[in-house]
Amino acid sequence: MKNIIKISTVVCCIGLTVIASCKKGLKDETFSVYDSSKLTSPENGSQAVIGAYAALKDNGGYGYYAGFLYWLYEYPVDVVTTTITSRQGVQLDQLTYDASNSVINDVWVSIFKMISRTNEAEELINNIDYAGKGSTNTIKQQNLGEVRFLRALAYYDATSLWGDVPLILKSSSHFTEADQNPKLAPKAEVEAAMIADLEFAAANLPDAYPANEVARAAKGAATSLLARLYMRRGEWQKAADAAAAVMNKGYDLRTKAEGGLASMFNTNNRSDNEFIFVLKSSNEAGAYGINSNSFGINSTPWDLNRGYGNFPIHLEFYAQFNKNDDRRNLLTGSYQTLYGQTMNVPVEYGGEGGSAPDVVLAKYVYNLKYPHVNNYNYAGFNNVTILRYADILMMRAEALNELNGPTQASIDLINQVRERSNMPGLTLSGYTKETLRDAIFDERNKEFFMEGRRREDLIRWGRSASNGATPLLKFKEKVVPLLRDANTYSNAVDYTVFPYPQNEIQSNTSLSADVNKGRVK
Amino acid sequence: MRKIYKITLIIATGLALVAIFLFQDNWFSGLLFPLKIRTVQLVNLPANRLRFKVLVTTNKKAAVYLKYWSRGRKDTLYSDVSKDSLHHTLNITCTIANTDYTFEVIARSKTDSISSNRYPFETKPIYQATPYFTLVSMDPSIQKEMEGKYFLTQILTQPGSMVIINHKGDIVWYEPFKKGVKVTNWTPHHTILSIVGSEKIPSSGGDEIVETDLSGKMVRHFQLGKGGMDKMVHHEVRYDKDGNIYALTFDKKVFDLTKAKGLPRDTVHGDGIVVFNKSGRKIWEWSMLDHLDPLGDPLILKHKKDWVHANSLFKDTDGNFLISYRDLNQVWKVDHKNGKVLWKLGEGGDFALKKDELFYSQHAAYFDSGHHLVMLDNGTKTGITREITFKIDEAGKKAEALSIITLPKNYYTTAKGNAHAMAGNKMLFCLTDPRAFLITNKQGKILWNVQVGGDPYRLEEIDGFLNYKPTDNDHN
Repeated sequence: MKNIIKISTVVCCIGLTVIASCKKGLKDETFSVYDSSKLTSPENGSQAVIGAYAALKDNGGYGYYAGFLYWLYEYPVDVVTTTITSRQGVQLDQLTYDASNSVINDVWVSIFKMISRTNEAEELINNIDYAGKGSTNTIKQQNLGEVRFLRALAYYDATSLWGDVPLILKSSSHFTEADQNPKLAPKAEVEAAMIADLEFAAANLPDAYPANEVARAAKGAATSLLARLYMRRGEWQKAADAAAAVMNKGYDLRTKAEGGLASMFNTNNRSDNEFIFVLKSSNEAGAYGINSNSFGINSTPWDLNRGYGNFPIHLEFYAQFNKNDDRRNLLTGSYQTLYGQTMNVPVEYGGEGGSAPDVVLAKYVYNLKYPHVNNYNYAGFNNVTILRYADILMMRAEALNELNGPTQASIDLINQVRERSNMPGLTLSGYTKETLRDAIFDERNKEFFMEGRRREDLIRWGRSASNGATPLLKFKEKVVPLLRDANTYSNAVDYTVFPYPQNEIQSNTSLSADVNKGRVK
Repeated sequence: MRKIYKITLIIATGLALVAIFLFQDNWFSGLLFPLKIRTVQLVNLPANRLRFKVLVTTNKKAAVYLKYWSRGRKDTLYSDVSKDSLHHTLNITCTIANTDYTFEVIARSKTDSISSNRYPFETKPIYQATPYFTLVSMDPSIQKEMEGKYFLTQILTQPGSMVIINHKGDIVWYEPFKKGVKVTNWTPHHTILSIVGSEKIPSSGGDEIVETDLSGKMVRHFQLGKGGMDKMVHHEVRYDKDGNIYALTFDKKVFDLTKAKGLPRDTVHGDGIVVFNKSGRKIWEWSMLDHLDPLGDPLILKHKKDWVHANSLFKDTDGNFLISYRDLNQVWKVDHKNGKVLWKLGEGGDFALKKDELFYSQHAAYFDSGHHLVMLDNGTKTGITREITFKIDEAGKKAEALSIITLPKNYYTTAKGNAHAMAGNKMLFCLTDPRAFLITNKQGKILWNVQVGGDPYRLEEIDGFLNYKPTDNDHN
C-alpha cells in the first residue's frame, strides 16, 4: 500500500512537470533587424516589369530566347542540324542527350529565373499604391498583365520541354519550407495557371503601346499565346476563337508591296505589325552578354560573313520549296563566298548547280532570318520572333480543319500566307481532313523554319494524325532518316519531353533519382 | 491488483484535468506559466531616418508597448500600445537624428507584467526634405515650461515635408513629400492634415489633401479630379467638430466687365469654401463670387486673376466661417446655412476701428479659446508685422484690440506666416520672410527664437504628440 502511494506521488510529480514543460516551451525571445521595402512607387513597379522582360534573354548572348531555347526546339527535329564541333548541340541533334546536357540545364535555369522575376514583380506591383502615388490603377493592372503574360510564356516553354514542372506562383518572401524543394506539378495544373494568367493579361493589357514603348506585350500577345496553348491542348474551338480574337486588331501580314516575308527579317524592318511579340536586342558592340542575341552570328556561315554556321539546314528541306516561293530566299541558295567563289545548291535539290573551280556545291543551306549584316561583332540585334501574325492565320486554319474538316474558311486563311510569298492558292476541292492537315503542317514548316515552332508542330501533327495515340508518329517519321545512326532512336524514350537537368535533380530533394525514366535512353 | 488499475486511472484522469485546466488562460495558469515575449523584430524604414517599427509576438494575448530612450539620457519615451493580440506592431515616433537609442518591450496581461531584453537602434542623419532649425536663443525664464513642448510646421517648397520640432529646434518627426507641403493642421486625432501640391501652384495651393498619422500612414487622401474634389484647395484645411474637412478653394465665374473696359464675358478668379465628409464627398460649397460685385473694384481688370486673395479659413463654434481676404485687408464672417456674409472686419468694413487697429495683408485669422479673434497683421502698409487680438461684439458690430504685439522691424514678413496664442499670455509666431519662429510675451519681448533654413508657412504648438506611459488599466 505504501508503495502504491509512493509510486502515485512520483507519477503525479513527473506528470505535472511534463505538462508544465510542454506548456512553457524551451524557446527564449529572439531578436532580429531588417529593412522594410523601399520599392513603393509606381516607378519601381515599372522597373520590375522591365526586369521581367529582360529575363527573356537571361544574360544576353545565348540565354533563353537569345539562343539556347531554340537549340532545344530546332536541333532534335528535322530541318536544322548542327556542326560537328558543338558537342552539346550534336547530342540534341542526334537524340543522344542526357540529363547532364548543359543546354537543357541552361534553359531550365533561365525559365525559372524568369518565373522568379515575374513572381517577385507581381508581389511588388501588388504592394504599390499606383493611384495614390501619381499613377493610375489602369497602369497597375497593365503592369500585372505584362508580368503574368511573361510568366505564362515561361511556363509554356517549361511544359513544352518537360511536361510536369514545379509550379511556383508566389514571391520567395512567402515560400514555405516545401517551396524550397518544389514538387513537380501535373502539366494540366500548370496549364490551368497559365490560362488564368493569360486571360488576366488579355483583359488588362492595352491593344497597343505608344511608339516609344517597343516590344511590350499587348493584348494581342496574350491572346495569341492562349491560342497556341489551346492548339497544344487540342482544344480546337477555343484555339480558333482565340486566333480570331487577334484578327482585325491592327496586325497584318507584311505584304508583297512592302517587300514580303523576306524583307521582314531585314534588320532595318524591326517593327513590322506582323510581329505580335518578339525579343528585341541591341547591336552595340558592348551589348554582347547583356542585351543581344546569338542568332545572327550562329546562323551565318563563315564564308558568307564570318559567322559560326551553327544552324546548318538539310538540303532536303531546300528541295521542298518551289523556286518561285519567296520564302526560299530566306535560305542561302546561292551566294558569293569570302574567297570569291559561288556557293550553290546542287541541281538535284532545286538549286542552280555548277562546277569547280567557279562554283562550290553546298552541303547545307543556312537561314537568313537572322542576317548577320551591318555589325561585325557578336551582338546580334535581329528580332527573335516569338509570336507573329502568320502563325495566327495558320493556327486558326488548322483548328477549323480539325473541327470541321476542309472548309473555304481554312483554305482562305492558308492562302493569305501562301499568296504573300508568290505561291498559288490552294483550292478546296480534293482535300480531306487528313490531306489538308498534312498540307498545313508542310506550309507551316516552310513559313516558320528556324522560328522555334517545328518540334511542337511535329508532336501536334502526330497527335492529330493518330487521334492522340502516337504523339511521336510524325516526329519519328521525319527525324529518324536524318540520324547518323537510325538505331539511336528508341521507342522506349518519350521524345516529347526532355530529361530534367542533373543539377535540378541534385539540388531539389523532391525529385527522385528515377525521375528521368523514359526520358533518356 | 485491481486497486493499482483504479489508482492509475485516477492519476491519469487527474493529470488530464490539470492539463486541460492549465492550457486555458486563467489566474492559475498565469501563475505557473507566465506571459512571454517570443520575438522582437526591429524594422528600419529606409524612407524615413527617424522612425522605426518594432514587431513583437507574445505567447498569449497581451497589451504591449515600447519604452525607449537615447543612450546616456534619462528621458523615457513610449510607443503606441497594441492591445489584446499575439502579434503587435509598435511605432517609434519621437527621435532625434544621428542618435543612439535603446528600447525595451513591455508586455502586460491581467496577471503579468514583463519586459524584454534591451536592444539598440540608431537614427540616421536627415538629408531629405528638411532644412535645419537652429535655436538662436531661449530666455531662461521659460526654459522649464518649454520642455516637453512640440511644434508642427511644414516646408512648402519642393521637396516638401511635414515637420515636428521640439523646444530646442531639433526635428523629432518628419514626413517627406516630392511635392511641397503647403499648410498643415494638427487634428484632434493626433494626425496631420495638409494640403500638398507642386511648387508651381501659387497661393499655397495644392491638388491633394493628405492626412498622415504619426506612424507615417496616409489615413486620408483626396486628389483633384477624384471623389468630390473638383477644384484645387489652398491656404487652409481643417477638421470641424462634426468630423468634416473644410478648405479654401480656387473658384471662377464669368462676369460682364464691359463697364470696367473688360469683356462682356470675362472670367474673374476668386475664392470659395468647400466642406468634404470623411470619405471625400463634397457636402457644402460657397463662393465669394456670388457675394461681391467685381465692378465695385475699379482695378478689377488687374485683379481678376486672383481677386482679393483669401488666405485663411476658420469655422467658429457657431458653425459659421471666418475667412481672411488679404487684398481687401478684411476678415469676413460667412453664414454656414445660407452662405450670406454676416459681417466684414477691417478697412472699410462693418466695424469702427481705430487707426492702429487697421491691419494690412493679414494672415491666419482665428478665434482663440476665449473667443477672441487672433491674427497676424503682416503690416504691408507700415512695414511692421504685428499680432492683434480683437474682442468682437458681433451683434453690436463693435471691435476692440485687446492687445497688439508689435515685432521689431527685422521680423517684418510681407506675406505668409501666422501668430498662435500660447498658454501663459505668450504668442507663437511663424515669420516666413525672415525665416524665423518666435515666442514673445504680451509686451513683445522675444523669449524664444529659432532660425529656419527653408520656407515655413505656419507654426503651431501641438499636444498629444508624445505617447504617455500606459497606465495599469492598459492591459487586456
